[in-house]
Amino acid sequence: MTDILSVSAVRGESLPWPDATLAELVVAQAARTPDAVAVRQWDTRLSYAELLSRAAGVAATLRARGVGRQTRVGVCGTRRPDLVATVLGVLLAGGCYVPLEPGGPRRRLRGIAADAGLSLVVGDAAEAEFGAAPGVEAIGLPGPAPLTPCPARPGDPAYVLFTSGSTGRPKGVLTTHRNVVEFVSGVVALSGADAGVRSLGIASLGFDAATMDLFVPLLLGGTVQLLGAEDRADPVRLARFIVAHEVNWGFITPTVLAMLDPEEVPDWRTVLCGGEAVPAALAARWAPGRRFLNGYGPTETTVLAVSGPLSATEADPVPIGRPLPNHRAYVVDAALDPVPVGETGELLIGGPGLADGYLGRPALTAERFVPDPFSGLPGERLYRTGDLVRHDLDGRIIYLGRADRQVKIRGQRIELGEVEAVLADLPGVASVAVEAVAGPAGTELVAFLTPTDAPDDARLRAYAGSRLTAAMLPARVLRRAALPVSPTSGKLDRPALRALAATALTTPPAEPGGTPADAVVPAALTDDPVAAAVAGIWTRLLGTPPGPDTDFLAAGGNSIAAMRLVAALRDELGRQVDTREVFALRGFGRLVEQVAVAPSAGDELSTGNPPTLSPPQRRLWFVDQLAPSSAPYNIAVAHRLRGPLDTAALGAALRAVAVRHDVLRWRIPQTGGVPYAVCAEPTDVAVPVVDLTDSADREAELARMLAAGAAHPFDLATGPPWQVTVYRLGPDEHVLAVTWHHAVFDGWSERVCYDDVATGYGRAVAGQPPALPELRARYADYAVWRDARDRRRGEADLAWWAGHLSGAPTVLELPRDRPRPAVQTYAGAEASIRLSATADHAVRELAERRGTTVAAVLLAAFGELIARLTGGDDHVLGAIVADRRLAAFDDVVGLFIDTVPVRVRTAGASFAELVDRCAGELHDATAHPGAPLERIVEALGVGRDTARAPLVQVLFNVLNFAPPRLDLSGLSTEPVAVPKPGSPFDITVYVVERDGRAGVEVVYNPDLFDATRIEDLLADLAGLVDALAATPHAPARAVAVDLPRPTVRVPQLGAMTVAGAEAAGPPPGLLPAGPDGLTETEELIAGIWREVLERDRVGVTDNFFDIGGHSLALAAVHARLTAATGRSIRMLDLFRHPTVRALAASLDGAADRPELARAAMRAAARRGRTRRIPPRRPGGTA
Amino acid sequence: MAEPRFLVVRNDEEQYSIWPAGRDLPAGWYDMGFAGTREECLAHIDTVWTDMRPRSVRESAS
Repeated sequence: MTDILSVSAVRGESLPWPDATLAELVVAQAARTPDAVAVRQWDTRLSYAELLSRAAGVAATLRARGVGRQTRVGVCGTRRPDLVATVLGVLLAGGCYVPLEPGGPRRRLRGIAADAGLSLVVGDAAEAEFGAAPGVEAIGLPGPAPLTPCPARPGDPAYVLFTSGSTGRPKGVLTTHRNVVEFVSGVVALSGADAGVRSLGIASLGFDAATMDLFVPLLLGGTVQLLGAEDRADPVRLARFIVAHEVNWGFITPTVLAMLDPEEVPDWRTVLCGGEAVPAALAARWAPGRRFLNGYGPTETTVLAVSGPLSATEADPVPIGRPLPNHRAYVVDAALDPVPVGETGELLIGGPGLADGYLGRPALTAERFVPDPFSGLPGERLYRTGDLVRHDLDGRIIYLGRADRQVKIRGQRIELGEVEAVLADLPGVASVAVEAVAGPAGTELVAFLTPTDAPDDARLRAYAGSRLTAAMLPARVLRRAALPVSPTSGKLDRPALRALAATALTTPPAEPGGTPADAVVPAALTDDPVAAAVAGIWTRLLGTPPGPDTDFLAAGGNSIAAMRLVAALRDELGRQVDTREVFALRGFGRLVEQVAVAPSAGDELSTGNPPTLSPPQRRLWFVDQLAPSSAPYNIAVAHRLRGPLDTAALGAALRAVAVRHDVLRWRIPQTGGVPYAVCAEPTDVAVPVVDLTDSADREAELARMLAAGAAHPFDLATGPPWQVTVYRLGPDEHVLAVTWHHAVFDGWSERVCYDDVATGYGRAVAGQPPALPELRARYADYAVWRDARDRRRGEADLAWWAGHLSGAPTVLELPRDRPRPAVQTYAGAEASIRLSATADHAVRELAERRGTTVAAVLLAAFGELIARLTGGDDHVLGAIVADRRLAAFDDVVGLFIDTVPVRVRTAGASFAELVDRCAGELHDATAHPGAPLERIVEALGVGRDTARAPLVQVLFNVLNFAPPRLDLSGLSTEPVAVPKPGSPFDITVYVVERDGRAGVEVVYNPDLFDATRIEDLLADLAGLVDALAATPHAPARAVAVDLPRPTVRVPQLGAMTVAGAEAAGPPPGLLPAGPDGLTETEELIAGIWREVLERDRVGVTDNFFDIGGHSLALAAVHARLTAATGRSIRMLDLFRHPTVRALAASLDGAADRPELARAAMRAAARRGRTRRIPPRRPGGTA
Repeated sequence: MAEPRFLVVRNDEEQYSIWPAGRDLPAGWYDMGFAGTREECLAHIDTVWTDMRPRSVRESAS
């Protein structure tokens, strides 16, 4: 019975609890129900016996390192079932766990580890987060071990949770086994949980509600249904998880609960809600038909101290309930005297849930945990919560607010003082004030900094990002000359600050050079400026105005749309939202909330830059030098035009396009092997008209000419990088064919180009000037912007790539029909396949269930197919990422894509897991754009080889555009297929959608593969997709084991070799010469190497690519060698002979007059006299 | 106006806290002989409460 007193004091009923540790109780439960499922996450289930044997493995490893009673051990693990085993392992060892959230702000994590005195961190993310931390040993998950008894006592600490501290330093709350065991007993009694409990494992381990998620089921014989990170982040996935796992009991914050629909989760019979104020409206939605409890409790009183049922008819503010069993609650005034019932005061809590105190903070502990003068129990303490409450007439407690500067942002308890203290430490900041105000997406932080030139948002974010959690980062930062001061008290005028903060939150940030979104916006959304702006962008990109619940994927969003959405949000609203967030949030309303809280973006775009090459342009230029007569990087299209064609108007329109998109007028010459861009003046575009009307077989002739045009070898140095031809098939029937070099064009440019041609043509035929409006930004502006971005991010991104690809194979050899030519050829042939309607449906459904794209599903299936073909489980494929990250680049023609490696690891996974991995890979690939492919290849030390493209030999192109339409005034148009001019890779797979069904098209090199092999491969890929998508949770390797068929799997006899491989080393008889053992040609080459590589010495047998050489350096060597010898030397020969000695031998052997080399050598020596000549060394070092 | 004065107090578990001077000390709490402002008392506790484990835990561990 609750005991209601005349003053504001209430006691919970008495309830005994076991005098044992958590570990002992779980061990005892496991002995009773060893085979019951203790933890489940989709297909991963740990029985009690398995859980304990894994936990015992952790415990044994920890004990071997000296962990015993009261030793604190960090736990840093991802949200997989093993996380529970890790926690239990620390407890079994007798230790006390300290949660360290992987991916959290790194400095804050390190600070907590240091404050807790951790020397050991265990868990599957320990190595990643703490591998480099000095004085900390990171331990991954050890194997199982036999169980040994837990040495801890009930009074020993079980965990330390760090919460926000007002002084800028998080404080650790020491909670004991007794605290938790008593709490679990209380909450079980209160909520009626039993052995059938299947709990919602949603709380992060660092939030004390996790104690409830884990130990309520584990002490009863029930199951923890542990949510993974992705399922936790998406309400659709969360609801699906709850249903699939038959969750029937669980604690959740009102913010998250509000995103769920009670009708979708009818089996969830007991809902505990808390962590922040529960709105009465939420109770009204959820209370009917289930047990709906409010729960209140600071970490210092162990999860919950006050709780009670809520009905559907509560009014705000709703009561938080009564004290838990064995707990006491008092409402007191400033002098700690009880107030009369019904009056407001501070809530004090007493009882066995009270934590020991704050780790290493005696004064703070003594201040917050005070002697209990009310209960008469000797030596008891009360915890001062700092919360203002009152009792209602039924003795229920009503929460009213905070007595201090603690706020809750998205359920996280935050001391404004901590945020202020961190920001105050940033150099350049004189003073700081942080206020919390209601914003578009709930409570928001606004920071005020002085002086007016205090660090900008980018610097602030870079600094605070590693020190503050996401919820602690201010939504807006205002810089002022001074902070307002109250004239009466002389103190900081906080009410004035709050008023300023509230205004700031509802005004969009000033955006230099930005243009406001001008799309039509539904009226219902316009009162919220953020929502209106996001709706404008959404409408522009996806075509239809969103409602609050419009789903991104359902509205036609895909990875490209997400990327462009993200770009527009950053460019126009100055907000940084991740593409993964777009997929995770899905709903328009939630996207708006995210945008409102997103950090502001700092990318600056300068315009009016002179022609500047981007890294992918330089790479294509280099390939062009290597294979000048082939055209694998051409993009060719053709359209049949029916109706009267005005070729003069077409010419005028094309000229207007070239005026607007200056990159189409670029030339890429070189000097000293270094390519650079110049822009030619616009000229009239004469459209050649080829008359085929008299041809015997017009279509055959057309096809032949289209193929020839597609393979046109552009001379990037001297000629236009695109060409247009009109084929005349009849008076009112023409085919318009256009070929671009990829260096100035990409798939996205096609639409831009068509739109501009259409506009220009329409004006020209109407007799108007076809001029098109000037662009906000041009391609050179992208190259400059990208260079700045790459310089800023390059090192970090490169380090990420190097780590990510560490140990990955750099060569992928698919079974083939012919030996690989010693020098890569770029021949191309095509094949395609469409998925069956069933497979298409299953793939789409799976993509939606996993919150990803069709492309990720197909990549996963392709990865599995490759694994079966090679017998390996780790492969690197190439993917294409679009780098149109600013909305200003939307309408710019040019090469904005880059090839990036994706690592596909297929071992031991279900297809669903493979899909998740591939989705993650594709996301990660776009998230590290600062390191272009050449730098990655260089960093990995991939050996160069003339027989294949470095690192990426198989490309998986996920950029799936609906083919854009060309609409020319007065003409009907229809696309005409043009054969691909060549294959830059062994195989390129394009994900396509034709007639509403997904499929793939491949371009492959027929010098390697026969058409029948590729056709069979595609058929087997489609079959495999069908089978895998139908059984996504079975081990992928066990599905459709007869695929691929032997004709795909087995190479032709002798085909897995390199044809005509040249013997290493120089031909005999040409060496040695010269007084120090070097021939004159060797001296010449070595000298050039030294200059280009800026090295004092190079060895004659050093491989160019091993001593700092890369593709563009090779181009520089080529240019100098050509100039020095006056001979035409193929760039390829430098590639094939990557040492000084081999190249010299090749040149001397091929030279008609070896004395040329000697003459050039003398000339080079003359030129070199003004330079420092390094001393020559014996032994062939030059 | 003089600042309120407090005592440094301790219970049988040797957990420290502060208590307003001149007010009856609750049962099971002992005056440790240090009085001062709230800040002074807390600063004193910071220097004397060096092993924060409750006495029962400390003793069972040794």
